[in-house]
Amino acid sequence: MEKTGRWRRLSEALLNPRVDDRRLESALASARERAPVPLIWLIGKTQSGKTSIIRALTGSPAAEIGNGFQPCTRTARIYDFPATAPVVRFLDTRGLGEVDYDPEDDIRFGESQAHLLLAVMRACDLDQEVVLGVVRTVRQRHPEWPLVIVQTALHEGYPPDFEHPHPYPFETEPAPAGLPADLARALRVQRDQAGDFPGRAPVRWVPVDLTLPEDGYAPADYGLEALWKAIDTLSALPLRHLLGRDSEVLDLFEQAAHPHIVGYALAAAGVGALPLVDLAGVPAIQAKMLQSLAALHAQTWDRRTILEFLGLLGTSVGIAYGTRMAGRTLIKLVPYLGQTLGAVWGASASGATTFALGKAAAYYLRRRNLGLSTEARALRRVFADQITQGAKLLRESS
Amino acid sequence: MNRIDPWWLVSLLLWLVPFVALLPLGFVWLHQHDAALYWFATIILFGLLGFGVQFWLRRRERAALDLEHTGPDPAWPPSADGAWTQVEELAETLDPADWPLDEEMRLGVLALRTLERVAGHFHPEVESPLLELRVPHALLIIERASRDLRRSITEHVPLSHRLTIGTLARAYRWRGFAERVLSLYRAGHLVLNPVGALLNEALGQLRQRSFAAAREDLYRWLLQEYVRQVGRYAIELYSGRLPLNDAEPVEWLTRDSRRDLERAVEIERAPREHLEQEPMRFLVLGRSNAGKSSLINALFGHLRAAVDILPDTTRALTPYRLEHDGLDQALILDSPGAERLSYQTLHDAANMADVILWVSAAHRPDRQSERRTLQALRTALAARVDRRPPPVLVVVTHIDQLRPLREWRPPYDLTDTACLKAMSIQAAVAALATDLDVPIAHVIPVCLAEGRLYNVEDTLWAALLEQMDRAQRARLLRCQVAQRRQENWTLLRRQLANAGRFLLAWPGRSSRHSAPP
Repeated sequence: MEKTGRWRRLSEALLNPRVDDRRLESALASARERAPVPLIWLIGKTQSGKTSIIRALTGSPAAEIGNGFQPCTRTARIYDFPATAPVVRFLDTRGLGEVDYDPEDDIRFGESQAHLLLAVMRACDLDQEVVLGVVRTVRQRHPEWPLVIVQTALHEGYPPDFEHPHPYPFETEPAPAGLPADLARALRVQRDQAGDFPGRAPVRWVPVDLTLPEDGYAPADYGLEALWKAIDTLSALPLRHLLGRDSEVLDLFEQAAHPHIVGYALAAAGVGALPLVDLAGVPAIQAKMLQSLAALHAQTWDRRTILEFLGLLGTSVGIAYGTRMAGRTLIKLVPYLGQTLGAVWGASASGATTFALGKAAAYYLRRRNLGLSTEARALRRVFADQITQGAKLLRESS
Repeated sequence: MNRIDPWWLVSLLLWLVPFVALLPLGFVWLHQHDAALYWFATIILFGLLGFGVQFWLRRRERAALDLEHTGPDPAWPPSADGAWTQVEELAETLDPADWPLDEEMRLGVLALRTLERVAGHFHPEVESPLLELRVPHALLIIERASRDLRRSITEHVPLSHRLTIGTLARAYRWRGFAERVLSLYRAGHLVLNPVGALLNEALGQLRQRSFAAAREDLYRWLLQEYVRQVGRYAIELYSGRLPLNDAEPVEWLTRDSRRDLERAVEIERAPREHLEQEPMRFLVLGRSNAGKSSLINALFGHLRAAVDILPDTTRALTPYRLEHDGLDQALILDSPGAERLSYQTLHDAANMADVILWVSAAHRPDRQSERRTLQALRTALAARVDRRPPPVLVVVTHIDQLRPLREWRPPYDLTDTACLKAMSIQAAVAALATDLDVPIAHVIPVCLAEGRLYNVEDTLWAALLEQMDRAQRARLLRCQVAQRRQENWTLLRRQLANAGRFLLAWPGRSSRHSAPP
């Protein structure tokens, strides 16, 4: 009896394309509180290439990043990616270089959440004392925070008509002889100026040149691979996987959809983990996810489409969904132990289901985009596979 | 022989009678022909016409006089503006009726009043400001005011070249006279009778030349001109700008420039040349690695200053001698990054500059510190009342690094909206003008990269030469300040030395007197 009741509530929520914003907002807020989103802290002067790094890491266009920034302290602003259910947040300290910049506010803001420090400096701008000063202060307070120093705009040190050297030469030490001498010296001097940083977590230096395709340097994201490698080795988070930027994900639509799905899955996990919260929050999040996925694929998401999608997915999903919910409710009945177990169960169940639902929807929408019909069996296999994938991802990221 | 024979007179009258008779006969004739009324009307008409022409002529005379009057010197420091306003005010409110020429003393009182006004402006705290006047300076003022007044009369008053040679000779003799006057002046009795005499004579001459109608205006003009001349020199005097030697201050090398020139010669290993004149001083400022030394090389057209991608290539203020068509002898000073200079060094260097070239990189938009430094500098320079701040030109470098990154196909027309590079350069220029708070016309984009030299020889040099007028004024005031400082010291030294000689001579003289032969 309870099973069908919940299923009806879910399909009601999914079928109704208008999501109750207030309820979603409170659901997301409680999710964020429960499982804070990882924060990447970018420290660098104006136009040192911070936005280019966000663009290269997330794959979203520069204009969107520019509009997506929200002020969070007097001197810093934050960019959530994706906007509604973020997988990762970028903190941009823009006050840097101003005369009376005091990093205290920004440190307090980033303190609880930062997972990674990215110091950004133009390779040929050797006046970096301000940036290095802030990085040193932060590392003194948080010696455990990993630090990547990105040296950007390499082309400023190139002679005219010089092309990016291939293969990427900056991983060997010392740098090979083919590099422009001025650039090699500038890179060296920046390192020497920085000296040793306080703290025990490792420091990586990565020279990159993140240009626009129309700038004429090939590839536009020169050194991005090295940057990902540095981030992956330093950070405990599978950040690249969460953002769908690893080589397994090849399709452009899939790449765009992935971080959204992860974001909503994380949010659902956060809401699901709350022992006493009404489960209505999870369907609201899922409905919002399906809507934004449809928008991403440039598809209309009306009652007819939803009915077709849910019909293809079949009741098995409802059952899988239902048993997990029921199991959680049953466990919750056990005093004391039930509270904890129920939370874990609920978190993984809601999160994994949301992830699988999103992946299935993305699969369905992609097929529709290509003008192909979707077989029910294939869609169900995607859903079943992705439940385990989702559970694994959530385990890794928590 | 002393009495006229009446018969002679009678014969003369007999000669005249027929002619005199014509007048009543004409009246009779007019009356008989009923034309008397017309005749009267013609008299009135011609009278009116004559009056009109006279009125027009008078207007023209007055206009010619109004056109020419002494104005303030553009090279004056800003503090003199207020004093000049006061002088003008006095000149405007003069009523010739109050200052009759015939009364002695009156013109002296007028000069005294002018001097008092100016002195009061410069020394508001002193009760009787006239006492602030230094003796040799007072001599100089009288000498110069009279010289200029003579010149202005000969140049501007119509027919004044007919003034008698005696008048001019008297004007030439003024120096000696003024010295005699000085003792009177110091006693508080300023008698400038020669001026009165001169004006009287000039007026007399003009009156003879039928200028009676314009007499009042002419006299007013002379009085005003007199007040303005005295006021002008009083300002020169009280603002301390009147150097005692007659040479123009720029024809005299300041100690700082002498030292810098010697260093420049040393740096360039050039043959030593003797320099008589104070050079124009250009100061190149900016953040480290903005391209200051590259700019100097580009201005020279060949390598002078060492440049590198690493900062701090230039360690100290380094002078170079700059030569260019249309430019006086000049020194250009390269500097280390502005953020590495102490405020005092920066301020001293700027104080000695006639033109400041602020170099800023187009692709480094973090200009907070630059803005702060430049603002502090400008505030300090503007606060000096005895100097006019030197013009500041902003040179935007590295424009080849703007988007699109790989494009470099000069020349660029900054008004061309179809060219992306031109638009980027235009945007960078506008951003710099806003960031550094300078007029956009004073922001000049250049490229100094090796093999990509652009906009230096034409635009930048043109902009520099355009500023020469202001720069020369800044140099003049700078030299005067430096010279006065040095003058005070040399004078004091000389006076002390003289006093010493006197003291040394004293016992000798007394001993010679007392010693037996």
